[in-house]
Amino acid sequence: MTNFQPDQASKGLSFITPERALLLLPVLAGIVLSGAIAGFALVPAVNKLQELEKLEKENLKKRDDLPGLVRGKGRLLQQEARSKFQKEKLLQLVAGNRSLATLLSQLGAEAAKANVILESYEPQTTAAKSAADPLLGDGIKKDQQLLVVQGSYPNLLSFLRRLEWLTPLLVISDLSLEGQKADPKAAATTTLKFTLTAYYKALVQP
Amino acid sequence: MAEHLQVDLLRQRREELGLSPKPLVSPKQLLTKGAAYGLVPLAVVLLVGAGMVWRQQQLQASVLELQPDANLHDSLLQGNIKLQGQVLKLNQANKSLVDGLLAVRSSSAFLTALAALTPQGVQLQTARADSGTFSLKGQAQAPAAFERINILQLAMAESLFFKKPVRLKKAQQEQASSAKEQIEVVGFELIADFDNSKAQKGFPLQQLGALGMAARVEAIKQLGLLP
Repeated sequence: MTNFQPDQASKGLSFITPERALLLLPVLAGIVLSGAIAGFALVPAVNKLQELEKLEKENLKKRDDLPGLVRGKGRLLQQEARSKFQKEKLLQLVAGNRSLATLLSQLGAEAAKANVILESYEPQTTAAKSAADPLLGDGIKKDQQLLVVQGSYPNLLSFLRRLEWLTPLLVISDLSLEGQKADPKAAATTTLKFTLTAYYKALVQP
Repeated sequence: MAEHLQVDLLRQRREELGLSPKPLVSPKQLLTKGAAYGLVPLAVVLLVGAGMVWRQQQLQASVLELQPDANLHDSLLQGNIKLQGQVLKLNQANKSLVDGLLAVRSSSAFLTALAALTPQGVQLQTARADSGTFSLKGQAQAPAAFERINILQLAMAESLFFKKPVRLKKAQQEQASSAKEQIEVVGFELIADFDNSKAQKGFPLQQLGALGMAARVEAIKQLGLLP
Protein backbone atom coordinates (compact mmCIF):
# COMPACT_ATOMS: atom_id res chain seq x y z
CA MET A 1 0.00 0.00 0.00
CA THR A 2 1.32 3.40 -0.94
CA ASN A 3 0.35 6.90 0.06
CA PHE A 4 -1.24 7.29 -3.33
CA GLN A 5 -3.73 4.47 -2.95
CA PRO A 6 -7.17 5.63 -1.86
CA ASP A 7 -8.03 5.20 1.80
CA GLN A 8 -11.15 3.03 2.14
CA ALA A 9 -12.10 4.49 5.56
CA SER A 10 -12.27 8.03 4.35
CA LYS A 11 -14.30 7.12 1.27
CA GLY A 12 -17.56 8.46 2.84
CA LEU A 13 -16.14 11.93 3.23
CA SER A 14 -14.55 11.91 -0.20
CA PHE A 15 -17.22 14.35 -1.43
CA ILE A 16 -15.89 17.08 0.84
CA THR A 17 -12.62 17.95 -0.70
CA PRO A 18 -10.76 21.17 0.09
CA GLU A 19 -11.56 22.45 -3.39
CA ARG A 20 -15.22 21.81 -2.95
CA ALA A 21 -15.17 23.31 0.52
CA LEU A 22 -13.59 26.46 -0.89
CA LEU A 23 -16.34 26.61 -3.47
CA LEU A 24 -19.29 25.72 -1.28
CA LEU A 25 -18.53 27.74 1.83
CA PRO A 26 -19.15 31.15 0.20
CA VAL A 27 -22.26 29.72 -1.47
CA LEU A 28 -23.54 28.50 1.89
CA ALA A 29 -22.66 31.85 3.46
CA GLY A 30 -24.60 33.60 0.68
CA ILE A 31 -27.61 31.33 1.20
CA VAL A 32 -27.57 31.83 4.99
CA LEU A 33 -27.22 35.59 4.61
CA SER A 34 -30.02 35.67 2.07
CA GLY A 35 -32.22 33.61 4.38
CA ALA A 36 -31.48 35.97 7.26
CA ILE A 37 -32.27 39.02 5.17
CA ALA A 38 -35.45 37.38 3.88
CA GLY A 39 -36.50 36.43 7.41
CA PHE A 40 -35.82 39.78 9.04
CA ALA A 41 -36.67 42.20 6.28
CA LEU A 42 -38.79 40.55 3.60
CA VAL A 43 -41.35 38.80 5.78
CA PRO A 44 -42.47 42.03 7.56
CA ALA A 45 -42.38 43.77 4.20
CA VAL A 46 -44.65 41.09 2.74
CA ASN A 47 -47.08 41.61 5.63
CA LYS A 48 -46.99 45.35 5.08
CA LEU A 49 -47.61 44.82 1.37
CA GLN A 50 -50.57 42.58 2.09
CA GLU A 51 -52.03 45.24 4.40
CA LEU A 52 -51.55 47.92 1.78
CA GLU A 53 -53.09 45.73 -0.91
CA LYS A 54 -56.06 45.10 1.32
CA LEU A 55 -56.39 48.81 2.04
CA GLU A 56 -56.13 49.65 -1.65
CA LYS A 57 -58.76 47.05 -2.47
CA GLU A 58 -61.06 48.50 0.21
CA ASN A 59 -60.49 52.04 -1.04
CA LEU A 60 -61.13 50.98 -4.63
CA LYS A 61 -64.38 49.32 -3.56
CA LYS A 62 -65.33 52.47 -1.62
CA ARG A 63 -64.63 54.60 -4.70
CA ASP A 64 -66.77 52.25 -6.82
CA ASP A 65 -69.57 52.38 -4.22
CA LEU A 66 -69.63 56.19 -4.13
CA PRO A 67 -72.19 56.71 -6.93
CA GLY A 68 -74.53 54.22 -5.25
CA LEU A 69 -74.16 55.99 -1.93
CA VAL A 70 -74.87 59.37 -3.50
CA ARG A 71 -77.99 57.94 -5.16
CA GLY A 72 -78.94 56.32 -1.83
CA LYS A 73 -78.58 59.64 -0.04
CA GLY A 74 -80.83 61.26 -2.65
CA ARG A 75 -83.44 58.55 -2.15
CA LEU A 76 -83.24 58.86 1.64
CA LEU A 77 -83.61 62.64 1.45
CA GLN A 78 -86.70 62.17 -0.71
CA GLN A 79 -88.08 59.60 1.73
CA GLU A 80 -87.36 61.94 4.64
CA ALA A 81 -89.12 64.81 2.91
CA ARG A 82 -92.11 62.59 2.08
CA SER A 83 -92.29 61.23 5.64
CA LYS A 84 -92.09 64.77 7.06
CA PHE A 85 -94.85 65.88 4.72
CA GLN A 86 -96.98 62.87 5.76
CA LYS A 87 -96.34 63.61 9.42
CA GLU A 88 -97.31 67.24 8.96
CA LYS A 89 -100.54 66.22 7.24
CA LEU A 90 -101.32 63.61 9.90
CA LEU A 91 -100.75 66.13 12.68
CA GLN A 92 -103.02 68.46 10.75
CA LEU A 93 -105.68 65.74 10.73
CA VAL A 94 -105.29 65.25 14.49
CA ALA A 95 -104.81 68.75 15.80
CA GLY A 96 -105.47 71.12 12.92
CA ASN A 97 -104.55 74.76 13.25
CA ARG A 98 -107.48 75.95 15.28
CA SER A 99 -107.35 76.74 18.93
CA LEU A 100 -109.59 75.09 21.50
CA ALA A 101 -110.42 78.49 22.99
CA THR A 102 -113.63 78.65 21.00
CA LEU A 103 -114.55 74.98 21.33
CA LEU A 104 -117.48 75.66 23.64
CA SER A 105 -119.08 78.17 21.29
CA GLN A 106 -118.43 75.81 18.38
CA LEU A 107 -120.23 73.01 20.24
CA GLY A 108 -123.11 75.34 21.03
CA ALA A 109 -123.41 76.32 17.37
CA GLU A 110 -123.33 72.71 16.18
CA ALA A 111 -125.93 71.72 18.79
CA ALA A 112 -128.21 74.49 17.57
CA LYS A 113 -127.77 73.40 13.94
CA ALA A 114 -128.55 69.78 14.85
CA ASN A 115 -131.52 70.87 16.96
CA VAL A 116 -130.31 69.27 20.19
CA ILE A 117 -129.91 70.78 23.64
CA LEU A 118 -126.40 70.96 25.05
CA GLU A 119 -127.23 70.35 28.70
CA SER A 120 -123.81 70.31 30.30
CA TYR A 121 -120.14 70.73 29.47
CA GLU A 122 -117.68 69.65 32.12
CA PRO A 123 -113.89 69.72 31.53
CA GLN A 124 -112.05 66.66 32.83
CA THR A 125 -108.50 66.09 33.97
CA THR A 126 -106.60 64.02 31.38
CA ALA A 127 -103.16 63.43 32.89
CA ALA A 128 -103.82 59.82 33.91
CA LYS A 129 -104.81 58.63 30.42
CA SER A 130 -102.30 60.63 28.39
CA ALA A 131 -99.46 58.11 28.38
CA ALA A 132 -101.20 55.41 26.34
CA ASP A 133 -102.69 57.65 23.66
CA PRO A 134 -100.92 57.15 20.29
CA LEU A 135 -102.22 60.48 18.99
CA LEU A 136 -100.24 62.40 21.58
CA GLY A 137 -96.63 63.44 21.17
CA ASP A 138 -94.77 65.94 19.01
CA GLY A 139 -96.42 68.87 20.68
CA ILE A 140 -99.95 67.45 20.56
CA LYS A 141 -102.02 67.70 23.72
CA LYS A 142 -105.59 66.87 24.51
CA ASP A 143 -108.47 68.17 26.56
CA GLN A 144 -111.39 66.09 27.69
CA GLN A 145 -114.92 67.22 28.41
CA LEU A 146 -117.93 65.38 29.71
CA LEU A 147 -120.95 66.39 27.63
CA VAL A 148 -124.63 65.79 28.14
CA VAL A 149 -126.87 66.43 25.15
CA GLN A 150 -130.57 65.90 24.73
CA GLY A 151 -132.64 65.48 21.60
CA SER A 152 -134.26 63.01 19.29
CA TYR A 153 -132.17 60.03 18.18
CA PRO A 154 -131.81 61.29 14.57
CA ASN A 155 -130.84 64.78 15.79
CA LEU A 156 -128.30 63.35 18.19
CA LEU A 157 -126.84 61.35 15.32
CA SER A 158 -126.67 64.51 13.24
CA PHE A 159 -124.91 66.30 16.13
CA LEU A 160 -122.32 63.51 16.43
CA ARG A 161 -121.73 63.59 12.67
CA ARG A 162 -121.16 67.33 12.80
CA LEU A 163 -118.65 66.91 15.64
CA GLU A 164 -116.77 64.32 13.59
CA TRP A 165 -116.44 66.82 10.75
CA LEU A 166 -114.78 69.45 12.91
CA THR A 167 -111.09 70.09 13.20
CA PRO A 168 -109.24 69.62 15.44
CA LEU A 169 -110.14 65.97 15.82
CA LEU A 170 -112.91 65.40 18.36
CA VAL A 171 -113.06 61.85 19.66
CA ILE A 172 -116.28 60.65 21.23
CA SER A 173 -115.94 57.88 23.75
CA ASP A 174 -117.60 56.32 26.79
CA LEU A 175 -121.01 57.19 25.46
CA SER A 176 -124.22 56.38 27.17
CA LEU A 177 -127.70 56.76 25.70
CA GLU A 178 -130.84 56.82 27.70
CA GLY A 179 -134.32 57.02 26.19
CA GLN A 180 -136.89 59.05 28.13
CA LYS A 181 -140.09 57.46 29.31
CA ALA A 182 -142.47 57.60 26.43
CA ASP A 183 -144.75 60.57 26.62
CA PRO A 184 -147.51 60.07 24.07
CA LYS A 185 -147.97 63.79 23.55
CA ALA A 186 -144.30 64.68 23.04
CA ALA A 187 -141.67 63.41 20.64
CA ALA A 188 -139.37 60.77 22.15
CA THR A 189 -136.16 62.31 23.47
CA THR A 190 -132.90 60.68 24.27
CA THR A 191 -130.17 61.82 26.60
CA LEU A 192 -126.67 61.25 25.33
CA LYS A 193 -123.69 61.46 27.67
CA PHE A 194 -120.20 61.11 26.33
CA THR A 195 -116.59 62.09 26.80
CA LEU A 196 -115.33 64.44 24.12
CA THR A 197 -111.58 64.46 23.59
CA ALA A 198 -110.15 67.37 21.63
CA TYR A 199 -106.57 67.38 20.37
CA TYR A 200 -104.60 70.56 19.86
CA LYS A 201 -101.08 71.79 19.20
CA ALA A 202 -99.36 73.02 22.33
CA LEU A 203 -97.73 76.41 21.98
CA VAL A 204 -93.95 76.17 21.79
CA GLN A 205 -92.27 78.21 24.49
CA PRO A 206 -89.71 80.64 22.98
CA MET B 1 0.22 30.81 -5.35
CA ALA B 2 1.84 30.77 -8.75
CA GLU B 3 0.58 27.96 -10.93
CA HIS B 4 4.01 27.13 -12.31
CA LEU B 5 5.32 26.44 -8.80
CA GLN B 6 2.73 23.85 -8.01
CA VAL B 7 3.98 20.25 -7.76
CA ASP B 8 2.04 17.74 -9.81
CA LEU B 9 3.03 14.39 -8.23
CA LEU B 10 0.61 12.32 -10.27
CA ARG B 11 1.57 13.65 -13.64
CA GLN B 12 3.73 10.63 -14.59
CA ARG B 13 1.12 8.12 -13.40
CA ARG B 14 -1.62 9.89 -15.39
CA GLU B 15 0.50 9.85 -18.47
CA GLU B 16 1.07 6.08 -18.00
CA LEU B 17 -2.67 5.50 -17.72
CA GLY B 18 -3.36 7.77 -20.69
CA LEU B 19 -5.51 10.16 -18.69
CA SER B 20 -5.68 13.80 -19.53
CA PRO B 21 -4.11 16.07 -16.96
CA LYS B 22 -6.59 17.52 -14.56
CA PRO B 23 -6.39 21.29 -14.68
CA LEU B 24 -5.46 22.75 -11.39
CA VAL B 25 -7.63 25.53 -9.98
CA SER B 26 -6.23 27.91 -7.44
CA PRO B 27 -8.06 28.43 -4.06
CA LYS B 28 -8.54 32.08 -4.88
CA GLN B 29 -10.38 31.15 -8.02
CA LEU B 30 -12.47 28.66 -6.11
CA LEU B 31 -13.28 31.26 -3.47
CA THR B 32 -14.19 33.82 -6.08
CA LYS B 33 -16.39 31.30 -7.86
CA GLY B 34 -18.03 30.28 -4.59
CA ALA B 35 -18.54 33.91 -3.64
CA ALA B 36 -20.11 34.53 -7.05
CA TYR B 37 -22.49 31.61 -6.54
CA GLY B 38 -23.17 32.79 -2.98
CA LEU B 39 -24.05 36.21 -4.26
CA VAL B 40 -26.79 34.80 -6.48
CA PRO B 41 -29.35 34.08 -3.70
CA LEU B 42 -28.34 37.32 -2.02
CA ALA B 43 -28.93 39.18 -5.24
CA VAL B 44 -32.27 37.44 -5.69
CA VAL B 45 -33.33 38.40 -2.17
CA LEU B 46 -32.21 41.98 -2.68
CA LEU B 47 -33.96 42.12 -6.02
CA VAL B 48 -37.17 40.79 -4.52
CA GLY B 49 -36.77 43.30 -1.68
CA ALA B 50 -36.30 46.13 -4.13
CA GLY B 51 -39.34 44.96 -6.06
CA MET B 52 -41.33 44.92 -2.87
CA VAL B 53 -40.21 48.43 -1.94
CA TRP B 54 -41.24 49.62 -5.38
CA ARG B 55 -44.62 47.87 -5.08
CA GLN B 56 -45.07 49.29 -1.58
CA GLN B 57 -44.43 52.80 -2.84
CA GLN B 58 -46.91 52.26 -5.65
CA LEU B 59 -49.53 50.97 -3.26
CA GLN B 60 -48.96 53.81 -0.80
CA ALA B 61 -49.36 56.33 -3.60
CA SER B 62 -52.53 54.60 -4.76
CA VAL B 63 -53.94 54.44 -1.22
CA LEU B 64 -53.16 58.12 -0.72
CA GLU B 65 -54.80 59.00 -4.00
CA LEU B 66 -57.91 57.02 -3.10
CA GLN B 67 -58.09 58.31 0.47
CA PRO B 68 -60.30 61.37 -0.24
CA ASP B 69 -62.83 59.13 -2.00
CA ALA B 70 -62.66 56.66 0.88
CA ASN B 71 -63.21 59.47 3.39
CA LEU B 72 -66.13 60.76 1.36
CA HIS B 73 -67.54 57.23 1.22
CA ASP B 74 -67.26 56.86 4.99
CA SER B 75 -68.89 60.20 5.72
CA LEU B 76 -71.68 59.51 3.18
CA LEU B 77 -72.25 56.08 4.66
CA GLN B 78 -72.44 57.50 8.19
CA GLY B 79 -74.77 60.23 6.97
CA ASN B 80 -76.99 57.71 5.18
CA ILE B 81 -77.19 55.48 8.25
CA LYS B 82 -78.19 58.49 10.36
CA LEU B 83 -80.70 59.62 7.75
CA GLN B 84 -82.13 56.11 7.50
CA GLY B 85 -82.61 56.10 11.27
CA GLN B 86 -84.42 59.44 11.08
CA VAL B 87 -86.67 58.20 8.25
CA LEU B 88 -87.41 55.02 10.19
CA LYS B 89 -88.28 57.06 13.28
CA LEU B 90 -90.52 59.35 11.24
CA ASN B 91 -92.26 56.38 9.62
CA GLN B 92 -92.81 54.76 13.00
CA ALA B 93 -94.28 58.00 14.36
CA ASN B 94 -96.51 58.25 11.27
CA LYS B 95 -97.63 54.64 11.66
CA SER B 96 -98.45 55.29 15.28
CA LEU B 97 -100.51 58.35 14.29
CA VAL B 98 -102.30 56.40 11.54
CA ASP B 99 -103.05 53.53 13.93
CA GLY B 100 -104.30 56.05 16.47
CA LEU B 101 -106.53 57.76 13.92
CA LEU B 102 -107.93 54.48 12.62
CA ALA B 103 -108.55 53.28 16.16
CA VAL B 104 -110.94 56.16 16.73
CA ARG B 105 -114.36 54.56 16.55
CA SER B 106 -116.92 56.68 14.78
CA SER B 107 -119.72 56.97 17.29
CA SER B 108 -122.14 58.30 14.69
CA ALA B 109 -121.42 55.30 12.43
CA PHE B 110 -121.84 52.99 15.40
CA LEU B 111 -125.20 54.47 16.47
CA THR B 112 -126.43 54.47 12.86
CA ALA B 113 -125.50 50.81 12.53
CA LEU B 114 -127.16 50.02 15.86
CA ALA B 115 -130.39 51.67 14.75
CA ALA B 116 -130.26 49.72 11.47
CA LEU B 117 -129.70 46.44 13.33
CA THR B 118 -132.66 46.94 15.65
CA PRO B 119 -135.68 45.01 14.38
CA GLN B 120 -139.29 46.27 14.37
CA GLY B 121 -140.95 46.03 17.75
CA VAL B 122 -137.76 46.48 19.75
CA GLN B 123 -137.25 49.66 21.70
CA LEU B 124 -133.77 50.56 22.92
CA GLN B 125 -133.82 52.18 26.35
CA THR B 126 -130.26 52.57 27.51
CA ALA B 127 -126.95 51.90 25.83
CA ARG B 128 -123.51 52.25 27.36
CA ALA B 129 -120.24 51.97 25.47
CA ASP B 130 -116.73 52.24 26.80
CA SER B 131 -113.50 51.37 25.01
CA GLY B 132 -114.07 47.62 25.25
CA THR B 133 -117.65 46.76 26.13
CA PHE B 134 -121.13 47.64 25.03
CA SER B 135 -124.27 47.00 27.02
CA LEU B 136 -127.76 47.53 25.75
CA LYS B 137 -131.08 47.49 27.57
CA GLY B 138 -134.39 47.53 25.82
CA GLN B 139 -137.86 46.11 25.45
CA ALA B 140 -139.26 43.81 22.79
CA GLN B 141 -142.98 43.77 22.10
CA ALA B 142 -145.09 40.65 22.10
CA PRO B 143 -145.88 38.67 20.10
CA ALA B 144 -142.58 37.00 19.21
CA ALA B 145 -140.68 39.19 21.67
CA PHE B 146 -138.00 36.59 22.28
CA GLU B 147 -137.55 36.08 18.55
CA ARG B 148 -137.04 39.84 18.12
CA ILE B 149 -134.39 39.86 20.87
CA ASN B 150 -132.69 36.88 19.26
CA ILE B 151 -132.70 38.61 15.86
CA LEU B 152 -131.05 41.68 17.41
CA GLN B 153 -128.50 39.51 19.23
CA LEU B 154 -127.54 37.66 16.02
CA ALA B 155 -127.45 40.86 13.96
CA MET B 156 -125.10 42.46 16.50
CA ALA B 157 -122.86 39.38 16.44
CA GLU B 158 -122.64 39.62 12.64
CA SER B 159 -121.87 43.33 12.77
CA LEU B 160 -118.33 44.59 12.14
CA PHE B 161 -118.40 46.47 15.43
CA PHE B 162 -118.66 43.49 17.80
CA LYS B 163 -116.87 40.29 18.59
CA LYS B 164 -118.82 37.07 18.65
CA PRO B 165 -120.66 36.05 20.72
CA VAL B 166 -123.06 38.75 21.90
CA ARG B 167 -124.31 37.65 25.30
CA LEU B 168 -127.88 37.94 26.52
CA LYS B 169 -127.64 38.84 30.18
CA LYS B 170 -131.34 38.57 30.91
CA ALA B 171 -134.75 38.63 29.27
CA GLN B 172 -137.94 38.80 31.34
CA GLN B 173 -141.62 39.53 30.92
CA GLU B 174 -142.64 43.04 31.92
CA GLN B 175 -145.76 45.13 31.75
CA ALA B 176 -145.59 48.36 29.81
CA SER B 177 -148.33 50.93 29.70
CA SER B 178 -149.22 52.74 26.53
CA ALA B 179 -151.79 55.50 26.12
CA LYS B 180 -154.77 53.19 25.91
CA GLU B 181 -153.85 49.79 27.29
CA GLN B 182 -151.39 47.64 29.13
CA ILE B 183 -149.15 45.74 26.70
CA GLU B 184 -146.87 42.81 27.33
CA VAL B 185 -143.19 43.33 26.62
CA VAL B 186 -139.98 41.47 27.33
CA GLY B 187 -137.20 43.52 28.88
CA PHE B 188 -133.71 42.43 27.92
CA GLU B 189 -130.07 43.25 28.40
CA LEU B 190 -127.37 42.40 25.86
CA ILE B 191 -123.62 42.59 26.43
CA ALA B 192 -121.09 42.67 23.63
CA ASP B 193 -117.36 43.22 23.30
CA PHE B 194 -116.14 45.71 20.72
CA ASP B 195 -113.95 44.26 18.01
CA ASN B 196 -111.08 46.75 18.13
CA SER B 197 -109.02 44.74 15.65
CA LYS B 198 -111.12 45.98 12.73
CA ALA B 199 -109.82 49.35 11.71
CA GLN B 200 -111.98 52.16 10.39
CA LYS B 201 -110.84 51.41 6.86
CA GLY B 202 -112.97 48.25 6.97
CA PHE B 203 -116.20 50.07 7.87
CA PRO B 204 -118.56 51.48 5.26
CA LEU B 205 -118.26 54.90 6.91
CA GLN B 206 -119.90 56.85 4.11
CA GLN B 207 -122.90 54.52 4.01
CA LEU B 208 -123.22 54.95 7.77
CA GLY B 209 -123.18 58.73 7.40
CA ALA B 210 -119.86 59.22 9.20
CA LEU B 211 -118.54 61.55 6.53
CA GLY B 212 -116.01 63.27 8.79
CA MET B 213 -114.29 59.99 9.64
CA ALA B 214 -114.57 58.82 6.02
CA ALA B 215 -112.82 62.02 4.90
CA ARG B 216 -110.00 61.41 7.40
CA VAL B 217 -109.54 57.82 6.25
CA GLU B 218 -109.52 59.02 2.63
CA ALA B 219 -106.91 61.65 3.49
CA ILE B 220 -104.73 58.94 5.05
CA LYS B 221 -105.13 56.84 1.89
CA GLN B 222 -104.14 59.77 -0.28
CA LEU B 223 -100.97 60.18 1.75
CA GLY B 224 -100.08 56.63 0.75
CA LEU B 225 -100.25 55.36 4.29
CA LEU B 226 -103.07 52.90 3.65
CA PRO B 227 -103.28 50.33 0.86
